[in-house]
Amino acid sequence: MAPGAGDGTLTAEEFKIAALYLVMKWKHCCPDLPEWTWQPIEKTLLSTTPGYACGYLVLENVYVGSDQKDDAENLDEPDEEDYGDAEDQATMHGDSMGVFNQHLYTYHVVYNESYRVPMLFLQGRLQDGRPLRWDSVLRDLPVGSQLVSNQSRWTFLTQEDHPLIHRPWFALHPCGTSEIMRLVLSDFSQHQEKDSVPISKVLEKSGDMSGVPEKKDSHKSSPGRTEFGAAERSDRRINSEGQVSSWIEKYILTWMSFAFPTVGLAIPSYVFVDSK
Amino acid sequence: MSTSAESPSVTGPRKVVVLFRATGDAPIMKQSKFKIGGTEKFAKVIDFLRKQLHRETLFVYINSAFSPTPDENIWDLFENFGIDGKLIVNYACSMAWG
Repeated sequence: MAPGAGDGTLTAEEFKIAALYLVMKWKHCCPDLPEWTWQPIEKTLLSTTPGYACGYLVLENVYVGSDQKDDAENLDEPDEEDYGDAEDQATMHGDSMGVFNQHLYTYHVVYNESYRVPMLFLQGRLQDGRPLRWDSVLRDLPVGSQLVSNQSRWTFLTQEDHPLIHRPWFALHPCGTSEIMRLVLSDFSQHQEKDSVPISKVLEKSGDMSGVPEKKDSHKSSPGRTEFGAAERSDRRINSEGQVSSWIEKYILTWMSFAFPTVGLAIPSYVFVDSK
Repeated sequence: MSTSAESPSVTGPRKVVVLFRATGDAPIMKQSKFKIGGTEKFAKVIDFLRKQLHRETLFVYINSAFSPTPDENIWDLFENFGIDGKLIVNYACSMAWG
């Protein structure tokens, strides 16, 4: 079966298209943020083989605030004590600890040939350039991700060999990516369809979320239940100005909005606004 | 979008109609349209869905395009991504990473 929106995967060529789109869009929308760059891979026998991407995405020197008492301060102390100090990190936010260390992170998005999806690699460093250890990186994650990491130790964030620079980096496991992307992209072309359910009278209930009753079941044509055939893949359109913006271009941006928050990096929503 | 419920005050909270759409094998809600104050954060929508569906891990996204961060303002999302006077929020279950 051909890869594509139908199964949530990308080919190596599509990865490059999406990556270059991301670089362009990011630069345009977020001029004040650190820049994503496309890093071509030096030509090797492997990288010129079809199915292998000819480059990867790089985002460097992102400061992640950390109020961990860092390795830097505890050089002479055993790890266990360091860990104990920062165990309750979540509740320490906002405390006037007097120590506010910043960790520098570099993110790479590399095409994974086996899963045929983008894969996130990251490396954290101390200010002096020493790489962060696993426990420090783990403590820089959002609390929810720390829990997931405990529950799914080997299918979430793992330390592994970076496929291109051959050093140990942390990687977000790609096994869930195509499933998520298949789901998200499955109703990509349906947004132009008007929702057939009229909003009837609005009943205000107490509370912040109040229900809007409707007469008929709006889920008859629930999206996400139809699979697209391969033929429909390449010419989907999303925005009403008739501008062609294929799912391929937006694949990496969309994926980032799901994957990056798990490592504590938010993608600003204005990147997703269609520009003319 | 109904304007009758909006506050007459310019600075008053504007409401946004949120339409929830189940994707994948997510359970369908009996009622899918809700109103929420525009000054609320997207986190409120996520929490609301969690309670409604009794699921801890939910996968929430907008317009097949992206998953907003929880601190995103509802009105901003509506202005940028609203379709036909509604903010369409897709949800799916059991999609935790790993």
